Amino acid sequence: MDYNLSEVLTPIRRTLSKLKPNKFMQNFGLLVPYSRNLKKFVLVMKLITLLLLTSLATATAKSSYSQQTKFVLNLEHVTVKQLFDKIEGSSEFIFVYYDNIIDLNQEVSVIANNETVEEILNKVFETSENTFKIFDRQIVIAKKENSEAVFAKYPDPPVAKKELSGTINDSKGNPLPGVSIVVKGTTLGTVTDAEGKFLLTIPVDAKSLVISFIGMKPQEIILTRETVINVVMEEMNVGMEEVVVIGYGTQKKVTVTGSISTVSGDIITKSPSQGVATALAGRVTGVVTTQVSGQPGNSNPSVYVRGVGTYTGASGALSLVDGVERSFQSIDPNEIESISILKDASATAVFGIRGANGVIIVTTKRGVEGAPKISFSGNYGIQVPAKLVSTENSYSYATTWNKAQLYDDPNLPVSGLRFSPLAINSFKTGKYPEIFPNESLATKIFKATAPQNQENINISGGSKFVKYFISLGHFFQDGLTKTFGDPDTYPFLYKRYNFRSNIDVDLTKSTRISLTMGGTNEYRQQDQSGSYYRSVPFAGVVIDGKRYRNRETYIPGATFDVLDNINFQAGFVGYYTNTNNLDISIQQKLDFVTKGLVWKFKYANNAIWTRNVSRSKDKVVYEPLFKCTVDPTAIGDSTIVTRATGTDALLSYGESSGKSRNWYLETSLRYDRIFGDHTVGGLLLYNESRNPYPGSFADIPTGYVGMAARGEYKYKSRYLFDVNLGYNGSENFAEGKRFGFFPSASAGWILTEESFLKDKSSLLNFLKLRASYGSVGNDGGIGRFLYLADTYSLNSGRGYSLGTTLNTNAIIAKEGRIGNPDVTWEKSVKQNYGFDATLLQNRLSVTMDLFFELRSNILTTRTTVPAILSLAMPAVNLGKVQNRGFELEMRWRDKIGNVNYNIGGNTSFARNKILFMDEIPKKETYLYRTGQSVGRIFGYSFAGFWTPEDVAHYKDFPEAGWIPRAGDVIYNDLNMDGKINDLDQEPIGYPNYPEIIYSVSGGADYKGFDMSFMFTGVENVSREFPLSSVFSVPFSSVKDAALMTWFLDNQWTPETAATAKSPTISFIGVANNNKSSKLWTRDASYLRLKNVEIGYRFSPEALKRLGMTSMRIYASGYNLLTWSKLELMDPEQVQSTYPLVRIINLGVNLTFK
Amino acid sequence: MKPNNIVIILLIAASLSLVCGCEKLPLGGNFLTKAPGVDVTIDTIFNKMEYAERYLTGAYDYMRYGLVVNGNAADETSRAQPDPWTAIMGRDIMASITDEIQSYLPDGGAWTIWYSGLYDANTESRGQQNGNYPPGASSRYNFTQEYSWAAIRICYNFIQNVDRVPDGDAAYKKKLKGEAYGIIACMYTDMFRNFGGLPWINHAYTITEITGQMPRLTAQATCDSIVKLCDKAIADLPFAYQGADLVNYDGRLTGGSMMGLKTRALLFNASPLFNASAPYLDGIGAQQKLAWHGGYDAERWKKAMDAAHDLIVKGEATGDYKIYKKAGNSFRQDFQEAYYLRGNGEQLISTRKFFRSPTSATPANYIFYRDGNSGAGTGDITLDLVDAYPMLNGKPISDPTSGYNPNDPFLNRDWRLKETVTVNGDAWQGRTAEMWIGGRERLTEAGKKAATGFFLRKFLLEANSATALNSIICWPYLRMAEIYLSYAEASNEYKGAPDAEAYRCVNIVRNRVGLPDLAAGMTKVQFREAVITERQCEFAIEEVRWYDMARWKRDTDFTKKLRGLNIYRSASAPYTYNYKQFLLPTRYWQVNWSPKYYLLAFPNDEILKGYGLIQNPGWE
Repeated sequence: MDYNLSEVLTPIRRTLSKLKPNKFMQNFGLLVPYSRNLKKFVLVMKLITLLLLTSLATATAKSSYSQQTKFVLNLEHVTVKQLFDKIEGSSEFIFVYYDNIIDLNQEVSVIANNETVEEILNKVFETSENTFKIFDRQIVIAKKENSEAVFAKYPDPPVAKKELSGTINDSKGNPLPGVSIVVKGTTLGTVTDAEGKFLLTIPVDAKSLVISFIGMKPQEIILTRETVINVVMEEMNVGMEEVVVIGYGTQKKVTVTGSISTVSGDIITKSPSQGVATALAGRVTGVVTTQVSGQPGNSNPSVYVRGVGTYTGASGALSLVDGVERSFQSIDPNEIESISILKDASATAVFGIRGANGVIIVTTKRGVEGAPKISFSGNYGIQVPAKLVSTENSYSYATTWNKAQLYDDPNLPVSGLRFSPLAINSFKTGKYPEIFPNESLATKIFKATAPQNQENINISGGSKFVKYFISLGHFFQDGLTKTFGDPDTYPFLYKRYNFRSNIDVDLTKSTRISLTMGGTNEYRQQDQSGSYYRSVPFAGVVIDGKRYRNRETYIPGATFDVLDNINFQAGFVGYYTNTNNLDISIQQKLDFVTKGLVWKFKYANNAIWTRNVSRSKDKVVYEPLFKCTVDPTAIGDSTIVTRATGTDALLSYGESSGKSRNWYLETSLRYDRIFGDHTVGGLLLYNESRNPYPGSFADIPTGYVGMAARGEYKYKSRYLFDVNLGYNGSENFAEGKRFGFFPSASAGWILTEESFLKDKSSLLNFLKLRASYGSVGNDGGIGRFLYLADTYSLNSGRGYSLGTTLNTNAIIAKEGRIGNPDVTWEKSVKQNYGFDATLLQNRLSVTMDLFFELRSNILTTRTTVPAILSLAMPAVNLGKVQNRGFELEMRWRDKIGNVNYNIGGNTSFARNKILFMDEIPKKETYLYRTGQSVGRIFGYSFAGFWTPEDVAHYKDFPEAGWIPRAGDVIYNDLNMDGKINDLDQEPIGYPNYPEIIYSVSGGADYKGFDMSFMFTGVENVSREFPLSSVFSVPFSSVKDAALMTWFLDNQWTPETAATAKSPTISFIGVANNNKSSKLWTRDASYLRLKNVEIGYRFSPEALKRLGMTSMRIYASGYNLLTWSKLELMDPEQVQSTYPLVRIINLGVNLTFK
Repeated sequence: MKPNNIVIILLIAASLSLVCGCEKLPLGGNFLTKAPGVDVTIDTIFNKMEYAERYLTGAYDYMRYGLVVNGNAADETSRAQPDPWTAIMGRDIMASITDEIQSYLPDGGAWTIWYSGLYDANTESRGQQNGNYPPGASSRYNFTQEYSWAAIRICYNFIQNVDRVPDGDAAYKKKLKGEAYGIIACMYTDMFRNFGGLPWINHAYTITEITGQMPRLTAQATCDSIVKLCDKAIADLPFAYQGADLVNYDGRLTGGSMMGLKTRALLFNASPLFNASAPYLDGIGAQQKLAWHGGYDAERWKKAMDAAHDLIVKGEATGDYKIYKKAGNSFRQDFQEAYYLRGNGEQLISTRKFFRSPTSATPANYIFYRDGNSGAGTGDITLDLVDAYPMLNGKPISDPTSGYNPNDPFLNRDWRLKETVTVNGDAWQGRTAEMWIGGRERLTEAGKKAATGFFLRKFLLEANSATALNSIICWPYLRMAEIYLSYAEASNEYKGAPDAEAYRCVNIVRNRVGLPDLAAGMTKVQFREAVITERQCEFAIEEVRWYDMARWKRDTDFTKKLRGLNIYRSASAPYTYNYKQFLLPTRYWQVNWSPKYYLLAFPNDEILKGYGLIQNPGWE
């Protein structure tokens, strides 16, 4: 008989044969949620790792089991077989022999007291023909005569080993593949297979195992005699398990190498404000939003990613919803699964020509397998104006005006004053309120509060074959303007219905068809003007529903009435917008070609219809008059009579409609596969899009063609490399110059996966270093077809009236801009360096990024060409801007007793600098825009106010072209030429977009209660004080606007000389005093308590009877507190005169299953 | 491959063809082929006479128009030749900086840079940076914002290309070329009167030619070049149009137009501003004879005199150009029609920008000052202009024998007064004008509407739809009356005293409005003053006064305190009126006068571009 070792070692062999790697590879595909897929993906390493680790173990472990294991036996007259069974049963020893070499039925007696197996067997075999040798746990029996030969067949003395097996699950009971199991203090280890199972042979003296998996809390298991170890791993709950949406795909957050921020839909729904972009403020790094208005349905902020990088091109981010270019502003937040902000070149290169300003991708929710889950959320909120601009009432307005007149001309007779003593006195006493209404604008037109409400119901779930997410939402926002109970005065308001139906059908195991439908139906109603402060407080008044309107009979200039501005009794403008987005995609796994290959096709159609309705009417307006004015015989009769003008007419109706459509087509091949330690991924994509109704050259559709490629390579989840390529073309450039190539590369290194760091310390749990470099383009904001030859227009301008007939016009043809066949897009080269880390048992997470951008090819028109040639210079790609900054985000999560809490914050900084812009040579270096930030404000250097002493010898001061009075503004003569003029303007303040944004937020929960808050702030931002033309000067430059209280409170007087912030109110001084200067360039930084929320979740037991699975009620507040140095108005409000709002909100979330 | 997969792929293929198959879907670069659109190039323009003429009309559109034009620069920035808009005076009018009008428009050019004294080479630059109003082009004739150079480019481009137009006969093309040369001459003449010597452009530049120096010619060389252009145009153009041609072509330049323009350029050239033994102000611009001829030469007056006389003779011989009079018209109506009516034989050059009178909030509204009592306040005429008009008997009101009654100041005055200025008690919109404080035209003393006690009537007429409103007002760029008065002036200067022909030329203008002949036997100086006053009255608000004040270096007219008139009505009927003069707001240069204001500054930016522009004296 012969035998061989392989048979002896069968247990191990069996295990090996069970590990069929194909089993999990077969299942690979995108049809199951991607996250789990990726986890499986990692498993490919298992086989190789196991083999490797086994051999290592053989080489290094010491055979000591036989020495350590001692037996206490008292066996009399037992057979050898029984003895062997006894030993095998009470230890790990296995006897290896052939039946024919030993008589197993031979009787022996063994009495052992704490003896090793060797000692026992020596006694047993002392007299027999057999002998033995211990190889670790195997005891080989041979005949003494040929024992040498038998034992020699064993290679080295086997090591004392022990075999462990078990299953690793996550907290939901799902098996976790790819989990690393390592003997502490050694490199011995393995990873779990597709079922989460593992098998590991370890030295018998091993003390404990460390079980770790990316995204899970590592565990240390103290080894006992148990050989089956089942472990439940807890998620680290720091977002490490997340999958993030990237350009044309997804990646696991831990292995992302680009700079990407994400916000989950839950966070977005925390904000009760109307728009999604508003809710982004402060939530992520690198995103600047400025909300300029609170007008219902019209308060969408401007959104910049990493500030501004160009001075002529568009600087807003590209926005996509479900991978297709669309606006996300009107989406119901409840439909949103996540928002990704792609910031660096590696993240945006696949968007090529359109990626330079960053990309924002909104992904909507989709169904997952399971019973139908019905969610309902309802909110009711009260809007309150955040800050109303305080304006003076009629009395104060009139007295201030007269005072200013007298200041300018002390000898002015009373008859020269605009406001007569009668007017002043009547304003003061309230006599004749019809003629002399004493009101102030803000309270005249704005209500204290206005309601808003929002509801959403959605159903999601699915079977193995069909998964669905269906949502219906409604949002209503009432306006803050008063309607005076008048049926013909229409309020501001905004209504929106959202629907969404996202359906995924798995036709076969390898084919999925997805239908993504989303739509909004919006209606916005507003007045026809919108500039409330361009009106005087005394022009009109409503008394008992009757509209009185002054016609300058008693008050000159009583024409601009705010009641007209809000269309009092006069109709409205309504904007209807219907948006329908439809995507169809087909995804086919091509495993039969090669495993891991997937083909996808997608077609999207976006259609927008708009209809604007304008309704207006004439209504009787009553001019209040003293009787003596209209009736010469009634001398001195001050009874008020009215003269009606206009007639009550029907509401007129006018409408216009518009359409907009575009389609998008995409086809791609993806490849993802794991070869041992090597994970590779790839993407090849082609897309086209067309907009048949563009804004300019309306008869020529716009088109884009894009090709994108991505290669991913990961070694051992430790070394990460990505290459992203974009190859894009636009019809906007000359043939042969249409396509641009935008490559980028990025790399990451997860240091904590290295053995020298892995699980070595509880201080540092995760550390990934990232770097990326690449180029992207920006064709936004570039006029169309600039490449065409010098263009002429055949009918331009208004014409010229030749001949003797009046009103006829000869048509004019004109030369246009000279063509530049070489015109191209802006090119941006970006670098990004960053790290992600978790520390202190994963309680602290930190992410930091540093970026550098150089934008070149900015379209610039040469300005240095002599104007006398009158050439409309072509746009040339000359400009250069650099943009640099950093982002830092930190969060601490822990629990104290039953209270889970987290607190953290983020800050972003971005500063740009114009490097080239073809400026005409300047007389003074400080006049150059080059070297400054884009949009930096230039103005005079404010040097204080003229004092009476200064005025007395004003001729000693630089010439300003007029004779100053005390309280007027002095400027510095920067170039010392003795004159105050344009050459004395220097860069002042910051641009009107902030360089620094920051936020601090936190939350806590205890049993059913939860609370969260967020403060956000911005720094390094300036506003020119004349926020719009009506604010520029007291009474405005054309003297038809309200008087802001601020001017009165802050004006220079001899008494307030030390603290005055504003010149003395006068008319003559305006031209000098209101030049753009440091005086009027205000710090617009602020800190807000943006969000606070307190909620309570009812216990599931109590809800069961109601058929609910969860119920949460909450109260939240938005924009509750603001600290700002801009005392005049809300620091974000720029041009609009509709105030920003703060919102107090109550809500409920219900889920049924 | 499983059968299942094959089915799926077939399905996908079917759906793909559904999506894409219905239209032929090009891929890659083919997808980006620009859809056919009408690309209009220079070849399109000069392939058809109609288009070529449209292009030339664009140059006419840049000719000087003195009223505020409704316009917006925003949509024009990408064009080589933007639409002309409110480039002059920041929506004010040029008369606001002479002694004719006091403006109250706070953000107009008069207030922001002229009255304040802030005007300099920097304010001229500012216009080029701001696309929208209030423009830096608050100047009276911005070097670039007035688009003279744009018109010059159009004209040369037209001249260089019109011969290749397939339709249109050679004679017609020659005429159009003559018009193009004429427009260039008009542009240069306007700039010459504001800047002195100028860089000379002689063709339409291409983008590859932008190099090198383009220095200013001397003032004399500039004038000579203008005269050459005029002569070239005169040779190409018909002297005048008649009949049906007049109906169609009125407003186009003619030989008569160019003879008149030549007179205007030569008269300015001969005037003391340049033609003097000393420069008006020292500076490199004067030393290089860019803003001074380097000495006095009487022959310059002769050239102006001869040019004027050639036109007068030819005009009278043909009857095409004359002092307009119409049988049956009142004196007043004759005067109105002379400056207002198209094709009247008086207007040598008239410009007709698309200008409609006031709807409520257009920039055009600014000159119409009608917007309530607090209206914008341009067009408020000074008492100084009013006082310049003589009595109907021809005597100035300062003459004790004139019969002037300060308590009824508008009685028996030169008819041109009431046709130029709305005065108290004159007919106005079917009633009488109430210019008294508290009257409908002047509700309060502080109101800006009629803040001087007067407002403009010229061009506006009754300011109703029947007349000025809703029609395109033609601007009397150059009238025959100016040629007569220019002859009289030049002849007086050249000959040292007024001769009979000089008298005849002034009197023909006076007689048209019923004024008697000038007193005989005037000295040279008396006659010069009489002519200048005649020009002041005849051409008020027609952009003549500024140049008269400048070329004669009339510092006292610049620095004198201007006056308004407060009119008070008695409390009860029968009403009597009390007239009280008052001083108007002080202008910077009234107390800080410098001769530098005679010429404009070149924009700093143009100088800093370094192509050889030398700044005018005082503005360096």
